[in-house]
Amino acid sequence: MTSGSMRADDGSGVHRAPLFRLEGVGFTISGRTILDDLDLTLEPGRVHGLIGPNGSGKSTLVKLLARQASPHRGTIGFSGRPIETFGDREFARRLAYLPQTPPPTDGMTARELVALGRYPHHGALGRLGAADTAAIDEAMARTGTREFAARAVDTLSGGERQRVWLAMMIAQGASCLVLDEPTSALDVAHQAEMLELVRRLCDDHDHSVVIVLHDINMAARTCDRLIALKGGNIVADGPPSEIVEPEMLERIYGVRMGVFRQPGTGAPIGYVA
Amino acid sequence: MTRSPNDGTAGRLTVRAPGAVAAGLWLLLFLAGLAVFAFAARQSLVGLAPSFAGDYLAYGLSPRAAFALLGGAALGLAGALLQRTLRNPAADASTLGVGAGAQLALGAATLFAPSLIAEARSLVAFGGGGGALALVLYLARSRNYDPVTMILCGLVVSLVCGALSATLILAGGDYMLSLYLWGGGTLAQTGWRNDAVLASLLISAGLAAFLLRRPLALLGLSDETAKSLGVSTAAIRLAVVLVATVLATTVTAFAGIIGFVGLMAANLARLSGARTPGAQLLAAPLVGAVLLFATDAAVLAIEAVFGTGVATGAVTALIGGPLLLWLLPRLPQRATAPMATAFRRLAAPRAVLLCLAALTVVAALVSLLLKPDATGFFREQADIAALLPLRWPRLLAGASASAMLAVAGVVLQRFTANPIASPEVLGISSGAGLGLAALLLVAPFAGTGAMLVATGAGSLAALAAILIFARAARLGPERLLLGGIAVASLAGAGVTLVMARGGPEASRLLDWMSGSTLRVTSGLALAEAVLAVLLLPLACLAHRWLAVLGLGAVTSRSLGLSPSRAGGLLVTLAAILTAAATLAVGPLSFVGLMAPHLARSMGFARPREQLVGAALLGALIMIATDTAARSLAFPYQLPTGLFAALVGGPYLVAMLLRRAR
Amino acid sequence: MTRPRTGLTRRAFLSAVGASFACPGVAIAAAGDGFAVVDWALLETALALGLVPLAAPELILYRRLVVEPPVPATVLDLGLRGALGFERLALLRPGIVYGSNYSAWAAPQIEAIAPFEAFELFVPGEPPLDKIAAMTLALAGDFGIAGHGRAVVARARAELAARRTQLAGIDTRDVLLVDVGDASHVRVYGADSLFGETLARLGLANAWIGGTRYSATAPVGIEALAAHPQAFLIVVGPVPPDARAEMRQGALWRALPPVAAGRFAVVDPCNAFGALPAALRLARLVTAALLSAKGRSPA
Repeated sequence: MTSGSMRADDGSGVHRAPLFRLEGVGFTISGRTILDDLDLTLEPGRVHGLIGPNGSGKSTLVKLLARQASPHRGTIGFSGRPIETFGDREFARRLAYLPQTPPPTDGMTARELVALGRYPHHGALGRLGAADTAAIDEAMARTGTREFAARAVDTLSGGERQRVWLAMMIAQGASCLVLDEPTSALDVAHQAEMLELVRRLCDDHDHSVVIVLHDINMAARTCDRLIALKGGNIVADGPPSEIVEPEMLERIYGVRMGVFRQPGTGAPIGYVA
Repeated sequence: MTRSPNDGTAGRLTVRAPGAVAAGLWLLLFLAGLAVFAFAARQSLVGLAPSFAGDYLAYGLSPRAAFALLGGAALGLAGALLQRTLRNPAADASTLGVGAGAQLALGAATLFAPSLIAEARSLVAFGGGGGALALVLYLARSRNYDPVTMILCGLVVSLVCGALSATLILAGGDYMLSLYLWGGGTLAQTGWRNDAVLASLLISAGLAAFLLRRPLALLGLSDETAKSLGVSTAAIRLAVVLVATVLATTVTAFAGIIGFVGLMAANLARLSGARTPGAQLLAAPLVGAVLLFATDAAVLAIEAVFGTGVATGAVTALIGGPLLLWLLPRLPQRATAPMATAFRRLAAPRAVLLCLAALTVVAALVSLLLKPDATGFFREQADIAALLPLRWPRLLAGASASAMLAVAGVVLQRFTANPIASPEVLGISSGAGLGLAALLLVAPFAGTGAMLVATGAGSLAALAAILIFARAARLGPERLLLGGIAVASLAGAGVTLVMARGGPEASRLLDWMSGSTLRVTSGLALAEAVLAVLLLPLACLAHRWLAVLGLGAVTSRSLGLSPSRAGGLLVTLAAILTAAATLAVGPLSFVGLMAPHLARSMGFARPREQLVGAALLGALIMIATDTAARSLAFPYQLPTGLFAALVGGPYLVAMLLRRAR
Repeated sequence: MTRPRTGLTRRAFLSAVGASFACPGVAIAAAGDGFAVVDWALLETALALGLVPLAAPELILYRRLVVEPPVPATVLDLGLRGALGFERLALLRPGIVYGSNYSAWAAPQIEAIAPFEAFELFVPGEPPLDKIAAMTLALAGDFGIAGHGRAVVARARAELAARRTQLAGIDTRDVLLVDVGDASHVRVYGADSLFGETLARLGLANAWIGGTRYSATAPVGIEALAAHPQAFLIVVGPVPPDARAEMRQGALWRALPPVAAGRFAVVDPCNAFGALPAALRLARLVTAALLSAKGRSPA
């Protein structure tokens, strides 16, 4: 497959390679189909939300996008190249991934963790240069984590901890962020704060984001495009205004749902009827 | 046979086998065992005087067959009880240190309280086995009784007990011959007394298990669930563990360590379709009885035909080892409590490292100049000159080896994110022991050079086995530890088989196991120092890998570091470090477990600081213990490696417990 | 503790005098006075020759298991035979150190301290008594008391011969000599062991003809002893306490033909890897056991 075939028109008249292009992607675990012959194209510079009920395959899909696993069938292209042709560190400089449950950090301070984000740049033996330090400082400034730079990550609150992990991803310098339910352990205020941060990164720095979210309304509020999975298939794909519709939601979640408009903004809010 | 639901820990291991077919197969194995036993009995009775042949059948062979059945049943029941109550399908008297603890207690009693052992053998064994199990459970508590951690703790406790037993045998001289025999596990009987004791015990234990079967079914669920259903989990757990310990230690008291029978019996019973706790508690003893009986019949036949003695207990361990290998990757992973958080961090780690280095040099000087009985320092030039050639090689070798062990420990603990990981439990030292055993079997008086080659080859073979195993299971850190445990168990069984033959090779093996630095030559010392100087900087260069890998495979990958590639290289480095160190200080110093902890608790938080700090602390620990080991009982020398383990053990326990809080 | 060093040591002087029996090959460089032994066979021999070493290993256990000849209180302990205290040895600065092939492992360390002579005494398959006698003569020769050495050897031969005569009248000539491991296992001393050869010198037949290793068999089950129903069973101490109870009450022990027929005795500990004194001690213990059994027997 040539990179030319993966070009897409983003509507601005400038041709940019699609962020991801999936063709016929399938994934099976011990005979059970998790993802079934998926075709999907994601555009750069936008926030994509993956939604769907439990076991719909959204976590598996982000693992494939983040190269944590390889598809059993089909191909994945990333930035116009087959995803498997990237070197380990080369890929890490372009894409940062936050798993659903970040690992324990064994006494590491916030700044030390963020500094590890520079690994793809300096490698095992390179020195931590001025550029690295600047990137770390900027990532912490942008996520508002400077004040607890010297504190152990394990001692931070859930919201603070997620912000530190986000800072690490920013320090990685990747223009594409893949996040797997980054808000699942947070209260409403911190959920909003975290997603606000993600949104701003996309808007201010032209980052691309793929984010798995459980809460359909949070997803609708944050994302440019929602992709709904069910049973390993895409059942809905479009802007939030098209997805958050009663019949659409019922198709996705399998329960009767209603939608009303938020009084101020007119944004759609789904609820279980 | 219905589809088996997920019954707690066991669910994943259950295979739907029609129970009737399985029962038929077990019956067939029993009949085969019976046939082999009859053959072996006829063979061994042929040469005997007719008058004695009857007595031998009545008081030797028959009680032995009965003991095999009863002992197998007891171990099977103990295994099923332990596995159920600890929710750990790998639990067994031999994997939880019960056997080794009982063996140590019996050895100590033989040496220090002979009258006690004549009168209360089972009680002594129970004390030792129970103590070891209590220690293992106490240690495992800090990780929420995670099955893997529990087996790791069991291995550590077993290794320490085994080393202590080795020292007792060495100190006791030929008199301790009985311990050799006994360590291998032999079922020979000279009457029906042991059978009678075991039978009555088995009946009472069976009754207790029958009465406890309902609460036991609930214990398979989580504590919270059981409690909410009104079961007093603590009391029942304690009662069940006590019953199992009594059963297992009584068998150990009469026959030595019969490896893995409980492990096999309980798991095979489950695979044969025993689904409910009641069925398992019934099936496991039956399966255990058939297993041990058939194994012992085969051993008897081998003895009758070839005339060489074989230890039944080591044979069962050899059979059970592969089962453990199969079982370990399938162990349930229990969510472990997150690591304790508030570690001290040093403000100026470099300064502290310099102080440590200075302290190490001072300790070395003190060690070199101290009088042999540690009553003062030498003043005479001549005396110093006389002792220097004896002292510097063991000092240098010990310090270098310990620094290497400490660094290997940091690497493994960081990579596996498990504070109980250490070179000692990676199976590499056990592999070295097996290599040595093989050599001494062929050449009992082999020289130092041949010994180095043999231990090196054994270490590398063990490393290869672990890596193959871990790769087959996709080199996760946990898998690596599990592979190490399995290899350590298998190699240990092999060493026991060689040891049970008695002879000069046994005493040389014992000597190596106890970790004496006495035989270190200047050549070996220089070699160790050169290896340390070459390998330690290599480990320090990998400090960033350690930091990244410590965050787990997913995060490592997303930062662009392949965990399997980097992890494989680091483990290979740790293995080489361990193999090199083992040559000088034996397999069991536990410096590789201790020094990394000590460095961490002193506040060396970053990988690089911890590596250097642990290396210095390791050297310091070894210099101190080596000096103490040679001076405390002067002119009698305590084996240095073992002495380090003895000093370090209690510290380590305290450390792990504090960490848990 | 340091002793003055002279150009010509007493030992070298004595060797020169008793040149006919000394080993001329052993050259002693810068030797101090006195000698040390690192093996019990050599300790026994030295003491039997009237030579008192500066130091010897594992004296606590020696006094319990070897018993004779008694060790003077002046002899310093060197620690375990398998873990020798080299530092004490180095500070004593002995002129020479003697050992057997069992202490050969320590050669590199000992040779750095003093000349080391290790006698090859116990080789599987080869009877040791002649080698022990040669070692006794060589040791005596080293100290210029070759005549005395010959006398000690001759006296040992004479004593063994006398015991042989004493035993001429007993009925049972087949003897099984064993070491009890646990209640159901023993090690049997074979023909190539010190004990086995001593039996032969006493005119007794070693009933055990099976293979041996390390001078005794690998542990065998006690039923193996029943293959020799006519033999006299002698257990060399010490016996582990639980095995002792089993030997008295255990059904299988009591059914063993020698035990059932009263041809059974337990004798005091004796050093299986000793020298002439150990052989004589065993001869005395065995003779006494056999004769007292004869006195007891109804026939």
